[in-house]
Amino acid sequence: MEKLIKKGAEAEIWLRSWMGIPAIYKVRRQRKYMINELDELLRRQRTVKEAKILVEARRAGIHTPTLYFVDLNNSAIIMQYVKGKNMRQLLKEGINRQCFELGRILATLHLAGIVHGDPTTSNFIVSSDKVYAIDFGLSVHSSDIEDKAVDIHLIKEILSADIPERFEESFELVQNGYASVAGKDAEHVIDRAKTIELRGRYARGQWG
Amino acid sequence: MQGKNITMLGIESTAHTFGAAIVTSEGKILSDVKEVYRGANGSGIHPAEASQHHAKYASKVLKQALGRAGIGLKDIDAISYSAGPGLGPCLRVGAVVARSLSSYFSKPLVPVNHAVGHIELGCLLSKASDPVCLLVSGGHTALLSSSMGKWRFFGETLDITVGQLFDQFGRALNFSSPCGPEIERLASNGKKYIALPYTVKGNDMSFSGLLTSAKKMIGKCDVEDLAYSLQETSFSMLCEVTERALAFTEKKELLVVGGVAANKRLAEMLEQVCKRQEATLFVPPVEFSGDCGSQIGWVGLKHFQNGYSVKPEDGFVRQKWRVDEVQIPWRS
Repeated sequence: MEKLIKKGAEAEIWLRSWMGIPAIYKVRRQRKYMINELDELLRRQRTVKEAKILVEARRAGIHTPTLYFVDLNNSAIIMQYVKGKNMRQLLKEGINRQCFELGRILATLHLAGIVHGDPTTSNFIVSSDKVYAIDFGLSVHSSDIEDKAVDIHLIKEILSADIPERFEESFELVQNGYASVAGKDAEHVIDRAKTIELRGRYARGQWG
Repeated sequence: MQGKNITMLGIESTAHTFGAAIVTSEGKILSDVKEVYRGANGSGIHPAEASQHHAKYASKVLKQALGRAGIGLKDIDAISYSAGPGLGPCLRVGAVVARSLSSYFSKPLVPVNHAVGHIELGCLLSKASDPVCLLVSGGHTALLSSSMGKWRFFGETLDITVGQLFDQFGRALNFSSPCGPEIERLASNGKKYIALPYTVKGNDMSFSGLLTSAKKMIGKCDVEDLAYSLQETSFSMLCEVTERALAFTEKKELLVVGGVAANKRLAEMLEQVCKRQEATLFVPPVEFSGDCGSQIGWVGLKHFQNGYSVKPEDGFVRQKWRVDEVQIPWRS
């Protein structure tokens, strides 16, 4: 059994058998558009980071695929196969209630000093009503409000670009979910996310 | 307005370029004339000087645009101008010219967003229909995609643009803005990669740390190697985020526009990105990738066809004006 499930921007996701059970083989292949020095550095860094944070995030109390094996020579990770739909598909189908859970997950990670770094909707898998976070290759260890706020900014950016018709209520759910875990800290983080948005090119903020 | 042939005058004056073009509703560019302000070596655009430059060349550029198109002002159906985003003093020159002509000749006036101009002219000239767009210039560094009648941001810079990165680095080497071509020339002779900060956050990028590091290295290593490393690092960030946007949206067209789109190394890298994502790369001709009157004329024409124009007294400029604030009725 060996099947390519997804060809993402950075990695290929294969479904294959590992020690007799179905598993995900995620491999970061060479990107020929980059020079080798940079490509190798990034692939290695991100593979290590992803493997480490997969484990730490689960310890922090969120659902992640179980890590089985890391193959640094091929910048590949073998992990549990989580069967389900990603949140991008569900949102496109008009289902947005899991946005609350997405907010809870981000806040739980942030409390544990982990910033996801790439909280786009396709990086959350809904499987029998549990929401799994994946793709920690851009994650960082940080308790800095600026880094946490970038996570919020990124999810807001993707929701507003990808589902403009249901953006407001979906982002409201994310914020409520975030606040349900982060408490009064949520306000500071969400305020900072607004500041980041106003730093965007030609955004009209306090100076007009 | 639909059905009738329309001839539009477009006036561009957001930054260093004063341009005028005559565009028709068949998508023909009858003429495109420009004069580009250049600051002193080691300095950028001085807004007051640039606006004086524009005022000085405005009538010459207009006359040439009309002359090359072989028409007079009376043959024009409407006048469009770049209303923003950009430098206030520069924008005002274009707006004053457009308002005066509009009022004197009783022609409808159409304010245009400069960035939408880059994107839509790029689509027209390269024949892209529904692309992911990489807009990379001195004013913007963003990935956009249209849905529900707007160009929406999939990712963008969190601080400076790639154009600013190159200009500010180039100015530290005493070049004159725009410095991109000079850096491209230096980089083509570079061999050794010097590690510089690579900052991708989700679909967003940050170039300010890269600029600081690169400037600090000036004088400590070979300048060609440094230019090469600066280019490779920043373009790799652009390409990575571009590939992410293609994979996420599952769109199969990539359009690249803006002044930095003229860089050959960037085009070569984006070609490979497209190959990986089984997408097609669309690049408008180089003379239309940077600022020009045609981008304003073409978008002004599309707005006008959709029934939009303003009175001369409402022909304002907006220094800050995001692409996603503009309704694009022909993409809804």
